[in-house]
Amino acid sequence: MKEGDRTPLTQDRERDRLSEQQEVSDLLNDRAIFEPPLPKRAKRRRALKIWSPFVVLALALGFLLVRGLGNALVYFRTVDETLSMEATLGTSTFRLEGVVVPQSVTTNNQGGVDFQVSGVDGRRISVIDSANPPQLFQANLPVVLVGYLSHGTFYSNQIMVKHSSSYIAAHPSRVASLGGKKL
Amino acid sequence: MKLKIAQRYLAASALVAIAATVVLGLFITPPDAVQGNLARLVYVHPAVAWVAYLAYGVTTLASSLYLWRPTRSLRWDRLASSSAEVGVVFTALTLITGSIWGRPAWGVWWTWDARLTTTAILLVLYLGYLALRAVPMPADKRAKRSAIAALFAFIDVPIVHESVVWWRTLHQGATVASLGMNAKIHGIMAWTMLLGFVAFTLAYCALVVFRYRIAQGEDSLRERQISQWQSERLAQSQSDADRVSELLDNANSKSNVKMV
Amino acid sequence: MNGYVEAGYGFVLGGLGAYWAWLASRNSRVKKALIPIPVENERRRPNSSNPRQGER
Repeated sequence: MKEGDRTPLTQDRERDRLSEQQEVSDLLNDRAIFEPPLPKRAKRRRALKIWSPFVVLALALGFLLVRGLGNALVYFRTVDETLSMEATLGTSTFRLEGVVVPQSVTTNNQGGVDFQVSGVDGRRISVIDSANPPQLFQANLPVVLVGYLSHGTFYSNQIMVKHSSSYIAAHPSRVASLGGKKL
Repeated sequence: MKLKIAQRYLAASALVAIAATVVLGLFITPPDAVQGNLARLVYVHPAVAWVAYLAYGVTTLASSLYLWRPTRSLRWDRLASSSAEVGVVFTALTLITGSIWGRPAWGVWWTWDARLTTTAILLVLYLGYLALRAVPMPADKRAKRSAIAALFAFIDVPIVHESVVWWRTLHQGATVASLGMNAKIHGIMAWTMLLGFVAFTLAYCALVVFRYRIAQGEDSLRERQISQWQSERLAQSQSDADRVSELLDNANSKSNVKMV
Repeated sequence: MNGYVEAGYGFVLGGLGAYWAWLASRNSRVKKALIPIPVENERRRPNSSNPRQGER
């Protein structure tokens, strides 16, 4: 029994010594320490500060993906697509794209404008709009309208102007060009 | 020290170029035939967006160089993180100026078209990259993880750029960087746009150098802190160990006494 | 002009200026933390003749 008593104790001491050595070598190794020694509550607060941005960003990403997949893939339907799908569309809300037909624009009593949009091959849809058109709204510019179709007329509650990526001086004759093509 | 001098020159030239862009853009260039004065935003908005692409490109390159063993160095990690942070600032400015332009030109502050949505995703992805960098980790581990994250985040950049081609969008196509390279802007308007690109690229360079120098300082500060914590913990563990062996010695001697 | 253009330019210039100011304050904080080197540390490392720890 005397031998048995002594052996576990020396084994324990040996184990302690080894783990202590391990600890010391960990401490000497830079990889072991990268944050200050903190009490438990401060640690928890710190963890919250570190991980909460990920939760917020993950939610934001999910929201953007859902909205993006729901809207961006078929952002609008053209005039021709709309006319060929007329029977199946019902009164669902969608975005319609077309070019504002010149001389078709009249203001209506709803504070908006009535006009026609045309597609690529000249087919037209009449539009009754109830919203104030944006500043750039004018004939011959492509527009994207939000609304629904009813008996061949598109009832729009929002007009967005889809301007082109060309930039041309408004009064070219009054501007001297600095190199490049003449304006 | 050299970096500090480079930063000074870059900042000064960026300041001059931006001032010239503002003067030309707001006062000298003619209004556009369709958009009128609104078109003046074309001298800042695309340039700021280009810098965001550039910044993420640099982050991706630096991250790859970190991941590739022969060139692995924390310097690349610092460059990647600096460029990403500046890129996030420019992405936010792209979204803000785009929104300000969209309200009068399109009629809406925001719409869920592909260009706008993918740009917002870009901002969220790189904010995630910066959040990952804020997690306490050993420097080499953090460098490796964030480099891998940076490679994934960059996938969105070509998607943003091509979104106006791949999908139907309210946002217009490219004015300058289309495949045929037939620019749709000429004369002084084109030159001012080019100047804007140069000006904001210079500003990007100055900001990245500044941010890189801060990263250097923060790293040496961290090293110093770590060695301080090390010596504190070492001292603590040694005094603990001393106490333990003292107790053990006592226990041992007592049991020895008993045993004898 | 029309308010929107000025706002757009203002946000870009203001945004970059604010970011620069933030970097400047971070820089001065780091610099301040790095400059006072404790004498003990200096004695412990006699080979470190370079007092500018911020630069590399």
